[in-house]
Amino acid sequence: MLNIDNLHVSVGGTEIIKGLNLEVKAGEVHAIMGPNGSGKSTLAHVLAGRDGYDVTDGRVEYNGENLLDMNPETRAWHGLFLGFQYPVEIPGVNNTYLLKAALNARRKFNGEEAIDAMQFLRIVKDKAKMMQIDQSFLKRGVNEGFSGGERKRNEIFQMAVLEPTLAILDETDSGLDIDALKIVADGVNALRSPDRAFVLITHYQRLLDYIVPDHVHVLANGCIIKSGDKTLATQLESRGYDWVLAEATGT
Amino acid sequence: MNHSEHTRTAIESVEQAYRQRQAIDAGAAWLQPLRDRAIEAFTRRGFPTPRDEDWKYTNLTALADASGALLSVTPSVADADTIDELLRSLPINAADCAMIFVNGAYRDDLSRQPDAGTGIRITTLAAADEATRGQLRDRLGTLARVDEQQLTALNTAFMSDGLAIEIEAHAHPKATIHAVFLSDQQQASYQPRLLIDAGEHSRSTVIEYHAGRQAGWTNAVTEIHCAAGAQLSYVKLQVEDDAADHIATQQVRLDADSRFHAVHLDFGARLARNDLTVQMAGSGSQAALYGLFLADGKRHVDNHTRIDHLAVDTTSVENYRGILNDAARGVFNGKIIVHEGADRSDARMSNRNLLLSKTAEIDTKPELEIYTDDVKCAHGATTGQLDDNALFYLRARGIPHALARRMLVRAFAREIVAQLDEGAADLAEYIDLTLERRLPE
Repeated sequence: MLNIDNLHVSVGGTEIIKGLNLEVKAGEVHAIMGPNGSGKSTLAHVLAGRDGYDVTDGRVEYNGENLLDMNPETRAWHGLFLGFQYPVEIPGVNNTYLLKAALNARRKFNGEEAIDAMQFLRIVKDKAKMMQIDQSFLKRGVNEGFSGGERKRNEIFQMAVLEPTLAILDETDSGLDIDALKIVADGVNALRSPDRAFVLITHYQRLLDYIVPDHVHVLANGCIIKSGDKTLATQLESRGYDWVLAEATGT
Repeated sequence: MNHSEHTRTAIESVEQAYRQRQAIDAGAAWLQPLRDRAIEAFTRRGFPTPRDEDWKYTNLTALADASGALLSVTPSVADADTIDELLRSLPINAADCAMIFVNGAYRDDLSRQPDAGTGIRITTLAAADEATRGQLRDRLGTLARVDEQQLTALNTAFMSDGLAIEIEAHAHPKATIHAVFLSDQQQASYQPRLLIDAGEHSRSTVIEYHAGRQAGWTNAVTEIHCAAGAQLSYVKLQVEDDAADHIATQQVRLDADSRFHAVHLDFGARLARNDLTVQMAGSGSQAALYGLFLADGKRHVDNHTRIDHLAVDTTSVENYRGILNDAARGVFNGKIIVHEGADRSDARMSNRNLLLSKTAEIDTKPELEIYTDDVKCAHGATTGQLDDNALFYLRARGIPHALARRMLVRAFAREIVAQLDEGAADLAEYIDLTLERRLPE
């Protein structure tokens, strides 16, 4: 589904990602872990199409198409979703309205008719209930007056409504208490399916207690330096990153 | 020509147009003494120039040069289809009272008078009966400052008709009152005059519209008086043709414990200038002034407001928002003066502007003058671009770029739109559609 080949990315002339390779197949959950400043969030933003990142080398293929050629909205229409680390507050843009406009833009792109209003409301209601989001939140501006935890739950709620093919969740677990973490994990697990893939970017192993990954990668200094199964996450939790870094540099 | 020669020539051509107009028929003869006094006041100074501090950013030289010709034109009959289309484009509830002027003349056939027993009394200046004339003679020009404001003098000198709206004391008419000024002439000028008298403890909503097709020049003057305890919600919507010039002056006087709530909406005209002055003369009076302006292309929109706190316990809130695209130019100048003795005054002013292009410009200047100690005042102005983070967030959700921009612009305008009261609620959707039309894909 996603094929990243020798990706190099610079920000303001400084190379952040230095030859990254990653393959994600449908149905898989990948966790990307790593110390601060290793390039995790840069990777998420480049995949979602944010301005200000120069791809200096490499390719990213998504379902056989060149992802880097698409603008952010086209990536979303192709089923890509980015769960933001810091979801922005947009007063005056209604939460529900945003979702409806987003769904309908994708439907239009796919040559489908606009969604039936009643059907849409039913979906929104069901998913809000699943994410334990109060109905009154839906009438507010996007993330307007939401706490950090509410914003993260809102990200997963949006994901649940939009039903992406590939979801990249950028530190969705940070700033969540254990109850909120469980709600977020339940939301993600409910969406797991053979045609859908997830890339979880996280600093901590604890999210992976609730969303069990198929593959775990360590990103350091712009490269994936070690990959393994879920046991790698447990090792990182108990031993930290130093041993992986040492192993990678051969010291 | 140098500045003073320009000024001289413009004054002479205006005087000539004035004499010509009197020779034909200026209409409403009883207004003649007022007009004579006004033309005299105008000729003393002529048009404002960029050397006047209040007109630093809005240059009327071209308009002054053309004024003689524009003022000499006798308004012609309007095209029925154009006027019908214009009227239907405005969000006027068919059940409300709507007084319609077309090319400067009152049109009874298009208007809907207020229902009897609603406490609304409306007269046109031209059709005023003898008794009403007496009252209006005393009222006209008592608020508008003919001697100080040249454009008010010009309006008074050339007014042939106008509208006087009176809300009787204690009346709470349910229906909104619409004062509508339409035009469809290429080379012409209009001098609409509107009087609003909100009686003691009355409660009402008045919406003033200016809409047109073709490049005319409107120079409107509105005098508003809120008697003790009156509550008036006033909206002014300006959607003139993109080639038209629009200048408007509103003089407001608030008596004790009255409440004046205004929303100024400017979406059209090549050159738009508003001068809103509120005199808070009565203790405990409250003023809330809101404004939303949008300019694109090479259009120019200028809002000047002035609030005088003259009495104790007066409260004013002001919030203007500007949206500027392409090579448009905006001006906001908000002045608050807290006079000696106006203790326990509370004044808050804010102006925020959104620049949608690199070539759009805004000059904003909030001013506070305080001559007493016991006051609470706050003011601020900001200018910025659309939030890149918000724009990316929306696009990452699948909202197309152009729609994402429009959503954010509408969100920016929403704080002002939310201020429209129940009687003006139909305008909210109209504003949304106008913003959408003005911000193309």
